[in-house]
Amino acid sequence: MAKEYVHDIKREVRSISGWYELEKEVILEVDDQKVLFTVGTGVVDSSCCGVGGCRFAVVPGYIVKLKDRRNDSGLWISEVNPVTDEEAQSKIKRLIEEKEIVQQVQFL
Amino acid sequence: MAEGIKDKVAIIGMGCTKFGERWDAGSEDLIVEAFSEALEDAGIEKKDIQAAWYGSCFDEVNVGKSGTPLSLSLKLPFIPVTRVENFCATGSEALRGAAYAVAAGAADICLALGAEKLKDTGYGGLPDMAQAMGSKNRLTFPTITAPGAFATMATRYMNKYGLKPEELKETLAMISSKSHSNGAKNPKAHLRRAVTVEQILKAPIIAWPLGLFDCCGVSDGAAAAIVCRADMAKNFRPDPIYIKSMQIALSHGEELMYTDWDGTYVKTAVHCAARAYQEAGIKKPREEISMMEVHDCFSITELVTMEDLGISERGKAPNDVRDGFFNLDGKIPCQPDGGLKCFGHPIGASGLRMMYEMYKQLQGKAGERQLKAPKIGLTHNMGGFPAMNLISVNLIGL
Amino acid sequence: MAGIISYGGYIPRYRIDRKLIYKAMGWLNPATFMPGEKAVANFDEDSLSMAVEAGLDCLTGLEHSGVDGVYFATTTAPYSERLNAEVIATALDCRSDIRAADFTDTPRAGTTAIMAALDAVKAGSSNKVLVCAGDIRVGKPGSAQEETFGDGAAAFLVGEDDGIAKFIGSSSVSYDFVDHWRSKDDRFDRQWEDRFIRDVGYTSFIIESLAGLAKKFAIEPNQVAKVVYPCLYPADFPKIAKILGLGPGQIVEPLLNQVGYTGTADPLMHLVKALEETKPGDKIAVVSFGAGSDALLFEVTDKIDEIRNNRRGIGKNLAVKRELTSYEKMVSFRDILPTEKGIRGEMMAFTALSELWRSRRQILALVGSKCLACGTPQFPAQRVCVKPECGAVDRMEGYRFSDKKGRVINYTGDNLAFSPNPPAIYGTVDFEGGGRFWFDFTDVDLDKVKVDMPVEMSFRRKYVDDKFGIHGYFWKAVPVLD
Repeated sequence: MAKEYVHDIKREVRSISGWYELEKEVILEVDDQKVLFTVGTGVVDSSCCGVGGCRFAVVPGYIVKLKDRRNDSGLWISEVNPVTDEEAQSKIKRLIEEKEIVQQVQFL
Repeated sequence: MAEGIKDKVAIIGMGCTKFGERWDAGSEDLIVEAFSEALEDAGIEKKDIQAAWYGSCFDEVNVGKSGTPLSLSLKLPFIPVTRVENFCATGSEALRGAAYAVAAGAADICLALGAEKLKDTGYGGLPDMAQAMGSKNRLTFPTITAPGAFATMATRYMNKYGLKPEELKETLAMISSKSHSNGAKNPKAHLRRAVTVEQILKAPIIAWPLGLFDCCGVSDGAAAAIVCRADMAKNFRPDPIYIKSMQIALSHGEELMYTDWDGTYVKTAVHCAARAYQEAGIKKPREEISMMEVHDCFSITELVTMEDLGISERGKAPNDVRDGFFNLDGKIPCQPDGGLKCFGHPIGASGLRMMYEMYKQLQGKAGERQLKAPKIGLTHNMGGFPAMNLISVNLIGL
Repeated sequence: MAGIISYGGYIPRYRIDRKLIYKAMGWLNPATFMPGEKAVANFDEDSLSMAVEAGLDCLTGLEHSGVDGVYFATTTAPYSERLNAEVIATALDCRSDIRAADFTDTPRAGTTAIMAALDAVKAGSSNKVLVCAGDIRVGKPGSAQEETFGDGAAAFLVGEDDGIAKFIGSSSVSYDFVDHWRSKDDRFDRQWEDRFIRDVGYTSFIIESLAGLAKKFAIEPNQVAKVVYPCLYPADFPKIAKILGLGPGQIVEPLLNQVGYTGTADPLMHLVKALEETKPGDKIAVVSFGAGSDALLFEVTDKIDEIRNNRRGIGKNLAVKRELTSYEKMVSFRDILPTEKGIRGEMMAFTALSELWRSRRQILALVGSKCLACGTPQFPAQRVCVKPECGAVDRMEGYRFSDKKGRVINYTGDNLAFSPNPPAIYGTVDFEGGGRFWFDFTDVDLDKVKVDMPVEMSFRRKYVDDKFGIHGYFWKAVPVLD
């Protein structure tokens, strides 16, 4: 089922326990499909139980419509199909880990 | 037969410092700040206070033990000061001590103050957690953190109710987003920025499945309350707020070591809420409670707390979240001040900070966050982990 | 007649492809290339913890209370003073009226310990002695040892009557042959020239002790079904066999390129392997190498299948593996790379040793209590029963959880908790038969952990307090092996 994805990178997003910033977006060709993923850095520096953070990737999904329209804040929106199949997730995770140096790969 | 303290104690003054990374303030500064506001709000003098309860949990590493940090900071005139600590419910515990003294007729006017300075340790996070667990537990417990311990409740909740991780994470993100938008309207909050659900979902994972925005953080802060006998309250102000109930419940041990509890809720909260409702005379919480400040240390905690408090049916809290039931413009707004997510968690102060918001809302003084004619406010404070904890549930009203 | 009653084995799950080591460090010493892979102990394992695992395997289905002696052989003991064998004995929930000793300082110590155990049994001084051997020998980065040394453990229960292998006898030679050495402050193995070791020691002592064995018991080479001796130099290993007049079927294939050379545990692990491959009536010779050589001769009985069908030994352990894809992790686990733990990671409260004494059966042996009033098992041991409707006070008996399987009730992978191998995975386990507690999980990937997953308990090093020199142990949950 298609979902909306808002293109919003290079913005620091703050929480009470830290922050993160998405650095770039990448399109990966996997089995004749195009997978969109973003790479970012997160820092956890004021949580209750320690300090952490990482370079991570987030996978919104297979691209259905890339940058189809803009939202009220002027940001591009794409339509994506989340990757739900476990095997596909494993494969994409491995490919991303090879391509980028990230400690986490999350599927939206 | 004990009848409880409903309507025997009134809150006539409250204070709350700005929470945050208060590099400008030590514990004493925070104590004086919270106390000054409470005193002015009550319109009394320091010498009118007959006894005090001082909540300090980890602040001990800064100020030491006993009630002396409070009596010395405020130059209290040789009155009783009891230091209380009960993990993250320390703030509520301080108020409970003060309220019980008044209800028992041992004193007419009492002070409850919680203060915590967590940013003087030189490293992130709560100080001295290793000591806090106890020597035998250190030999047997896994290497837990609070986010991790609560994350285990999330994995079990997903499993029991057949939720996919993305489904639960989206619900948790809605909870967080709602709190952040409330906190943005609160000048005393540490973090005052709205965040969208999507921004929350793209954040990195701290302890699977909890992400950056599902977890609260450390902060410095203090909050105070001045209570007096209900029948005296109107001498001080036209709009005192009355305590309907103050209850605490502690874990039995069965959650951690016996196989009945299924890990998807907080057993102590169920017991505590039941007693609190009974004391306050609440029969239908979902209909009678106007607003809540709960212990949103982690989004999953807030979620299951809605069920533990009998507001949502078991397993149905996600539906209520999605329906906006707990939003500022919803049926029972939850975390109208932004909660721990926006204030951070100075342990000893949080319970009183929650009470501060309920108090101001009932008096119509919540500014941009003001709810329409609230009648009963509930605060919920939790210390420990899902399998080993204590819960405080308190109700105040007109 | 004295002999082997039972055996056990343990190989760490992590295996590293030697190419990764060569890729990382081959630039320094290009001659170190070796094929295959080797076993790498996880950050939470040491020679003692692995020995416990092997001991547990060995004692499967047997009364732990029947053991009246525990010997531990190693060259990499965590303590120089605190009897390591007794930590093992306590972890295995043995009685206290037993003898216990560490055998150390040479890779030969494993066979020496078995000989001592058999002598005690023959003399009637002991009934059943458990001999465990475990080693985590560390070579300097870029060294041949780093490629060669692997981690592992084995255990034998030795006694009289009804064993799986009768002990015929032994023959030893002892030489102060300084091939490898470490003085008391050395961290890493030191060694003399390989050619010297090979030509003077390796190709001589093994043959000498076997010759002594053959002479003593009038044995011809073709009468021994299996011969075990360490493979220190792959090219010379078959040369020794040739000199001894042994055919290919008589040599136990070395584990060098699957596990590595495991020091004290090496001959014992290969003896387990031999026992997994033999049939009743076979004679097995096991030979060690280090400051000389011990040679022991056994004859397999028709009871071999009873144990063989119920032990993990080497075969089953070999088959279960996780790829260690990072050389940096390997050297971090062995504290060769001084990694940043952060202030929180370094902060450690002093172990309350008097509390450890009182709770030693709970902590080391995972023995909780079972309520005699309601039958509920509980961990840790309780004075007041945890079952809500019971609550009986002081009506408990000891109840061992270490051998119970369980299932995962909840879990998480914590990126914030300090772990030398993040994320820190932990959760709650409900045990078969009753009882529940929460534990660290280890040797598992987060995406493989699921609610209701079956787990078993593994003895691990829980922490090291460098400031006060304390290695602390406890149990962690791992996926069931078989």
